[in-house]
Amino acid sequence: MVAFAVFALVVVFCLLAPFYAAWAGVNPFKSTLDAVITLNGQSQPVMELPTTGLALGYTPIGPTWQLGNYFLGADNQGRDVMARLLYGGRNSFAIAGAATAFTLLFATVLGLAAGFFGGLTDTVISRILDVLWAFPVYLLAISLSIVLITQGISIGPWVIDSGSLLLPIFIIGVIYIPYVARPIRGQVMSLRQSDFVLAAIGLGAPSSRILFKDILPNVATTLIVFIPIMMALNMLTESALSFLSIGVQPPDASWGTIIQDGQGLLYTRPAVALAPGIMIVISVLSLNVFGDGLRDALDPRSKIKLRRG
Amino acid sequence: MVFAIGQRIGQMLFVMTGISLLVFLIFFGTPGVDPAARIAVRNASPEVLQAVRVSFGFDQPFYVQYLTMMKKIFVTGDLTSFVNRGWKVVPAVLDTIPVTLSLVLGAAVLWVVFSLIIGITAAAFRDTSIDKLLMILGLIGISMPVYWLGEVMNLITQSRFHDSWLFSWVPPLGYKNLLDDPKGWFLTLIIPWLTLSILYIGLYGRILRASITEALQEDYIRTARAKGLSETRILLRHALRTSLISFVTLFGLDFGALVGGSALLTEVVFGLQGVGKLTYDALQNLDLPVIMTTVLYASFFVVLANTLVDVIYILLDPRVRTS
Amino acid sequence: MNQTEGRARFGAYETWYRITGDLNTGKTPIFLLHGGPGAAHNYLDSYKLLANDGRPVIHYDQIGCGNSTHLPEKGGDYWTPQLFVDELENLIDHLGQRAGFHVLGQSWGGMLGAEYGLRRPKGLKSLVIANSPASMALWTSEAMRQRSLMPQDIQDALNTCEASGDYDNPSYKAATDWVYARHVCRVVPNPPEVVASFTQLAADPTVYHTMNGPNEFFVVGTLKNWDITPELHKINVPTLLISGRHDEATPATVQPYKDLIKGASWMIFEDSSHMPHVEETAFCMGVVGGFLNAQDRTQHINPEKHMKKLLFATAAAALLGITPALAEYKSEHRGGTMRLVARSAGGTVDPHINYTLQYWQLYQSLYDGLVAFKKAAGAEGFNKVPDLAEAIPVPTNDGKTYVFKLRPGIKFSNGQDLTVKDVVASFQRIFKVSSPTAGGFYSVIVGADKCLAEPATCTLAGGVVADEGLGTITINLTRPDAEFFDKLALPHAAILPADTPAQDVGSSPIPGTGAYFISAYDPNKGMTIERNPNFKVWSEEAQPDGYPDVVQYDFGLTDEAEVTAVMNGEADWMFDQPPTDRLGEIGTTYKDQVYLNTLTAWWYAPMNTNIAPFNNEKARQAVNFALDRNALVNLFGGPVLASPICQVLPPGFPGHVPYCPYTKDPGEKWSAPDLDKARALVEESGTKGQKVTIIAEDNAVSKAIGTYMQSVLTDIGYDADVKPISSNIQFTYIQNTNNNVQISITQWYQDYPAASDFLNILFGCASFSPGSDSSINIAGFCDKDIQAKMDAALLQGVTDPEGANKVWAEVDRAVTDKAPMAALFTPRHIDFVSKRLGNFQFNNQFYWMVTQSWVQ
Repeated sequence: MVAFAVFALVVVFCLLAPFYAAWAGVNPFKSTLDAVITLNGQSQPVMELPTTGLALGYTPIGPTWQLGNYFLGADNQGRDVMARLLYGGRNSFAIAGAATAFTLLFATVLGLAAGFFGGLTDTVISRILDVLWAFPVYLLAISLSIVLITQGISIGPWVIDSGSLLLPIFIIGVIYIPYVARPIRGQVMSLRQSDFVLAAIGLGAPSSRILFKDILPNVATTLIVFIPIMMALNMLTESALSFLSIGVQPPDASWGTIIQDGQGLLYTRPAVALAPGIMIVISVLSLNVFGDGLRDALDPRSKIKLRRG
Repeated sequence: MVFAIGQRIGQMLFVMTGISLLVFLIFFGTPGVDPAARIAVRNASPEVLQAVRVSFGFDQPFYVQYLTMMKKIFVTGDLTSFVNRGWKVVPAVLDTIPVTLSLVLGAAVLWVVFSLIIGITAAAFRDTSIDKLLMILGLIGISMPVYWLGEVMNLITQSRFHDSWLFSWVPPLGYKNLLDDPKGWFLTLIIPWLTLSILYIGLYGRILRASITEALQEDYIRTARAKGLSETRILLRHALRTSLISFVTLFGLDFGALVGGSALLTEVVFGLQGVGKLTYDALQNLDLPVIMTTVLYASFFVVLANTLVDVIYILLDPRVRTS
Repeated sequence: MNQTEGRARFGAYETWYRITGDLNTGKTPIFLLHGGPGAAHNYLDSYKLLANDGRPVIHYDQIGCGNSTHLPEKGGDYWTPQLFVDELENLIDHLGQRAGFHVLGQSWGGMLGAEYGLRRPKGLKSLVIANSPASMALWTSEAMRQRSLMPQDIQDALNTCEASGDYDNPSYKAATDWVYARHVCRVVPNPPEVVASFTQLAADPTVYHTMNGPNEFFVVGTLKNWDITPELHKINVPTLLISGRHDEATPATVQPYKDLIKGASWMIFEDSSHMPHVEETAFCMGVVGGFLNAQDRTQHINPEKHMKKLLFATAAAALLGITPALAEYKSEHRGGTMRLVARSAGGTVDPHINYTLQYWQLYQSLYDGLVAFKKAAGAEGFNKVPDLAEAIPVPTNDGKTYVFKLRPGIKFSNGQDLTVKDVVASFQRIFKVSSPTAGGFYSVIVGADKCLAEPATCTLAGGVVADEGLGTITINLTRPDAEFFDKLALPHAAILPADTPAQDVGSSPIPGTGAYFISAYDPNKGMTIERNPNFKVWSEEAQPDGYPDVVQYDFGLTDEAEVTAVMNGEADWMFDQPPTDRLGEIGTTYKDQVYLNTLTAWWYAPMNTNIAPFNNEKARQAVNFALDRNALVNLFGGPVLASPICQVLPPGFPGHVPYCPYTKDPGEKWSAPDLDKARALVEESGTKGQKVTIIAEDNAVSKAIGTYMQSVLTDIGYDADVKPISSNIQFTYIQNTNNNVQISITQWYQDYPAASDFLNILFGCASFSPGSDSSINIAGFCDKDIQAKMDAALLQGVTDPEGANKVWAEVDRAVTDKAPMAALFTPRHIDFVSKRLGNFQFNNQFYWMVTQSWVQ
């Protein structure tokens, strides 16, 4: 529960991002190359040109360790890293959460259908899942991203613009469907063979009733256990995609994109890359610990195992 | 049983075909992907563009292009890159295997050794503070984004502390051939090995601890205890042995995936020219022939590992065979 | 930085001086001689930045001005150059610096410096002559020439008042201000230290009026007949000349220094006039500081060997792209393996197809055409010299027929003899392999249209005709082409063996005639270049022998790893530009291993003139007014690495006349963005609130610029977002009209130095093909009148290149006014090399001449 509290605290902080930005008087989505701050009574430009040697380069200010005053320094657009970190967290959580919901929804539908109806339905669904499963996760994500980021996607009347957050949600949501759908299918298959379901079928209960009344509640536990695990996994994937610059698009931020921005400043201003990484570790760690606890409570036989990071 | 195994192999082919079709479809529909203009490079006149299109067969229907590509990968083996023209893709992919294997094998050794130590120690001291500490450390390992860890490692060893005695031995990024320069090979790979293995050490340590603890509840352990065997002996000879089955299974799957290119992020961060990096570069270039070959190569390993695991289960477990 | 002031007794009088830094650090000090005469040290203040390296910098006021003793009663016979030479000698001894020192003189100070240098004083290590004429006669004639180019009203004001001697007339004052702002100091208003100099000069103009005259271009004083050219040969220390492109000391007035001082190097600052230390401070400090450091190193390493000294001086001169004076082959440096690194390979090695700077740079020592760009440093590299042909022919048949005679006895690297058959086959091959420029560059050859339609059966019958007996090749064109020799000198027209396969050879190298050949190539690993065993020098200018025995080029490192490799001496040179966060380190700790060169290239943001909102001229101009080009320059790496630009043609390019309408005070030069004007224009255009997507490349710099532009466009009223896409597809993506790209960020690097290569190619109607990935006129800009003018200029260029360039300048203005793009900046190129690499020479056409440097 401590873990959950830590996680909740991080989320709350990130939700407070607009207030922090307003309080600090910065706009984390606008280039402010000529901003000047007051530091220890002296005014200091946020971006500095060196005067020594050949005077090459253009360096943002480092951490000031003063809250509300470029606490973690600036990035290469002169923007307050702290404010971006909070805003970025919102995106990271939003994407991870939405992608988890997406994955669980589709995985449940597919898993239920395949496990319950069997036969041709099962074969078709299972083979599609096989293909997705065998497709290396990051390769699939990168392939989808590069294509989608360039042109967006249009499914029938719905058009998702290429800069939209829905894209990373969709991509991450899709790639993990097999990870959840397979165990659910297995569970449903064994439930289907269980005495009480066979009895219900024998009594002539309609399929929909059996599915919702008898099977879904049993699967629900598994789904709940999956939530924190998938959240953790999705946060890592989101940050990795953004790091490969195919996730969240600028000037928007997520922890992954801030790490990527920071990579270009790693030698001069390592804080830009370190801070979001530490935030990811804290969030994912608390999710994992929480997930562990949840599993111990709901699923003592540990049928579900975290497979990949 | 032969039928069951044959069926698995059939499924494997199906999956690989599915993947290659998927890749082909994805890259066929993207604007700016039409390789003709990129092959002809800047400011080509329309006539030149058309000539290139014809010479590469881009004017052919979709399925013809797909089949031609498959033929060039599997039959003639002379598929060439769209970006580095004339560069044969199949040998290029084969060339990267030693790099990826070096990385993955070394990391695997590390993660097997350390996860065994951690798993067994934690199980032996289960529910003590040592156990809790080890498990939390394991979780931290799982919770770190591998590319970020790699960047931090680079920052420490290549820049911040490179001049200190601690890391002055760290060579610049890049791969050194084992046969030409065994020492260089070893030194350049130490940091990548550590980075890649940390996740798996955490993961496997936790899994091992869980299954040992589970095994310790089994009847035959109680019997052994009743016989008066020492706790260490029970742990190592009996509980560990049963737990290793799931450990090895998982190892097979992960190892397959990593050899297939899942170590992409580690390879990119450390500038190792392995399969993952090759794929990543090809994706950046939208170099379809290379992407196709590496994706097929990668999925081959994933599917192969899955199939092997399944086949072993079929051999071991008669219930699966009949159902 | 600590400063100490003091006074030195000089006869009955006193010289005031100021030392920045510490004289005891061991680094050789530099004495700064100010101009005027009588302008005092103030305006040279920025040279104190040289002290950032630990070098003591000594400013002083010459006698008769500033803080030194004023002598308003003295007459013309007192104020002689010898007086000031004596004063300097006195000061040097007073400060105890006889053991070694550098001297930098600016304007009159440079003239004084030359006077001083030719006396060969003890301890003088090197001399920097900044913005100084070599004779007053030249100065006056150049001033008159400059004046003749000024607007009529300015000329009239100057002439009237000078005729009547009415130098205090307000109109005269206004006219001189106008001139000063263009040719004396282009930073307006002048910075305080410059104002301080002018103020004190006005307070006591004794020396200035006596020696010079009432103002800068009216020399009537005792210096009127000063001329140092007969004695310049006496100067025997390494000498650096610097001047501004717009300097009142025009290049013509500086030329004698260059010609007559042995080994003198010369750097012209493109955006400066008389005060580069004020106008391009950082860059100027880099150049001067680098020169001084190179001199220090020379003398510390090898004080006794005069020969070595000269060599180092040459190496130092090569620093920052200055033409070295010595060109003989130094056989003691021959040999060794040079190691180059790059992030990735450059694609096919086929010289007829490859279109990358990366390999074009290497091709220089691998392949030859009938003609070649001269293998010389600097802008001399733009000149064409005969290569495989014995001479550059004069065209006949109204400029449509060229007859080349092949040099005898040349062999390919595989041992085959070069014959006229190879030449004919090579020209056919351009079309058979669908060379990217086959349609653009070589379609003027007779028979080319047929070859373009059916590449496989290309013969170029009647176009390229060989005569085996005479050893000649005749090339017939369908129309005269002023740029034909440029095109022949490009790698796409390299002469290859006749039996080379008529298809892209990809990664299997083709033998060539150059000094080296490719012995191995794997695009995933690297390339090895070795000496061509069959090579004998036939022309130093076209294909000189190289120094290293082997060049090993490795691919696959990240930029960061490349930098580290060069720093640690594991590589001699990196191809990619260093990442921005390493620039600070490179510019300080490793600054002696850095070479900076201005490129004839530009970064620009094409705006699609056919779709909203940029189909509205006002919207496009608004973007131009809004962009803070200084910010963009900084994002690229700072003012040392780029210069703001508003127009198409880059500085130093044929036809370039400075022009910038999109700035706070429109004129020649960009000064500051005008956001109010931009917002007003957006409002007027009625495009406010429209959605705009900026397509950037997915690399650090382009993404940063894109993000910045998104901010600016939002600021002026658009609903802007930025989309970085993979660098490898961005360039074709933005060209295709089907993708509806509104505005994007891209670059263009010259193919060859001709205005048409920028204007006609990037904004000509013929370069626009809707729906195609190859439509380099990204803006889709097609203006009938401008096109007509370009066609006329192309034609005129055949007979009258000078006149044509004037027309191109007009076209440049016209295109800039229509704003189908926002010009961003002209980049400079960084070459970061290992410590051991020597004889670095930068050729403006193909960049660093790899094999002309040595590694041992």
